Amino acid sequence: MADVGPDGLPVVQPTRERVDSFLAATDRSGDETVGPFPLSERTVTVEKLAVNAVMAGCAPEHFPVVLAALEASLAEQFNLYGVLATTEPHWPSVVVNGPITEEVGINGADNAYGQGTRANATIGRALTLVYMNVAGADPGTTDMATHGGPHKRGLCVAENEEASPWDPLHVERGFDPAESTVTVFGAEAPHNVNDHVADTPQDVLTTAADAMTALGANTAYLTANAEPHLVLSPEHAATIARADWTKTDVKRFLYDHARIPVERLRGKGMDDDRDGTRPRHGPATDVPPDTTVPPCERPEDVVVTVTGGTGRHSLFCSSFGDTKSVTRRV
Amino acid sequence: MSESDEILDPTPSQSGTDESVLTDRPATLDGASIGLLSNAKKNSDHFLQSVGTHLQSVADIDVSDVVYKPTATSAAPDDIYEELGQYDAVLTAYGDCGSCSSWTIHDAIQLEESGIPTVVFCSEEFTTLCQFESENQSCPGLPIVEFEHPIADVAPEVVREERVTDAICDEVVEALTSDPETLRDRYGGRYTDEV
Repeated sequence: MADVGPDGLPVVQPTRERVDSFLAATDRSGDETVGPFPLSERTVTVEKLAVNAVMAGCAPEHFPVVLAALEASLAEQFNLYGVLATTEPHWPSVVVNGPITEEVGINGADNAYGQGTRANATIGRALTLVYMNVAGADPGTTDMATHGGPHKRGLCVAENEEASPWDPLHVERGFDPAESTVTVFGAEAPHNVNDHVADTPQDVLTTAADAMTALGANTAYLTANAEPHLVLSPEHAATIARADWTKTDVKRFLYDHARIPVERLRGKGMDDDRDGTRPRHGPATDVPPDTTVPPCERPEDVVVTVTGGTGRHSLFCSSFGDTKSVTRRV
Repeated sequence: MSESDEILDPTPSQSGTDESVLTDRPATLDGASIGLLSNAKKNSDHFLQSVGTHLQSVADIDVSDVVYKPTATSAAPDDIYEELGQYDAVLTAYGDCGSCSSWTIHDAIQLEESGIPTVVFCSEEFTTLCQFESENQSCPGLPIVEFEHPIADVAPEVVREERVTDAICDEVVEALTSDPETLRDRYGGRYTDEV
């Protein structure tokens, strides 16, 4: 076994003993199968996935999270077939909810999207190794990302439920607060939303809405299935909640304000208006010229989570557009 | 090596399939009707129309108007597959990015499975991805005809006059009139063997 994985980083050797310890951490049999994984269309055993998680540097207790996230990404609406192959920089990223975040040490606070926590670093990496080793996503031949992005080394965070004024993502999606879940997003690397001045919901979210209306983002064009994801910091969330705004209010505001005038879209990005014969992407096709295009089809398609530590920064994660996030129980 | 020292393999052990869903082709295109399926990528419709015009100069065929699927980043809706089912063969364009290449291959395989001979047009930069996917979806002989990259930043007349070459049109005729075994020999590993 090579000392370096296909992602370019050294790997932990997947010995029988280590792999067995990962399998012991789940209630799944190593012989069970998962798949098929596009692009290779291969179906593999749970043991094979454990081999990859060992190599990524996970601890045994992280493996159930890895497994749930991989299975979530195989749901049809996630469009893994497109996400793995695309020239865009989008890649499966993971948000974890529920008690398991504390049990296995997944960071949802300071620098959660950055370095410093083994679970965050290795759970995401395990997914990447599976997508490379099993699905066959090979940069430049089958993973055709023009640039890729740092999140493609693996991105996994917890939601900071304690610091959130609202129901966390998994409760919003029908799970019990005591259940643990993973949610996978076909997302870009996050983009910062700095606002040290705003002291009302409208002002915090106006800054966020502006960050969400860049012409180059996929969500500007592929809006039919888009789920623009705003990651509010606890401080920004507190400012908003202080005015008795619910998460539904936040989504509605963003849906109403994170809009691009349709005339700005014409002839750019993915909106080809050159000869008028072909369909354009998203609702820009059918809207009158003096209107604005929302970032997704319905207000409830905006995803709002609370993650992060001290500071007046939030994050916008643009989506691949033609993908739906998937939440699964761990 | 003792059992405790055993190092396990992270890659699949399952081998590829020998099956092929490629459908039979007619011996000649004369009298055939050909459907054009665009994924709405820039210039794909001009490319298809130009190939159709070329084909009409060498065979007595009907060519459809361009049928567009709504987005390049997922499969064509079922009603488009049904609409294309009325033709004797389909040309689809094109793969010129990652996700649109994937879903173009997917569309082509759906059509082949329903008995419609199909040719996929693909930029030379994305043929390896397209063939990797077609081989893994039991269609190793799927005709993937390559063209020069990039094509999105040229004018429609350049597409018609320079990018749609005689060699491409000849290849399309061959791909629509050769038997599946011949196509498998011709296209199997054509773009993936060098990786």
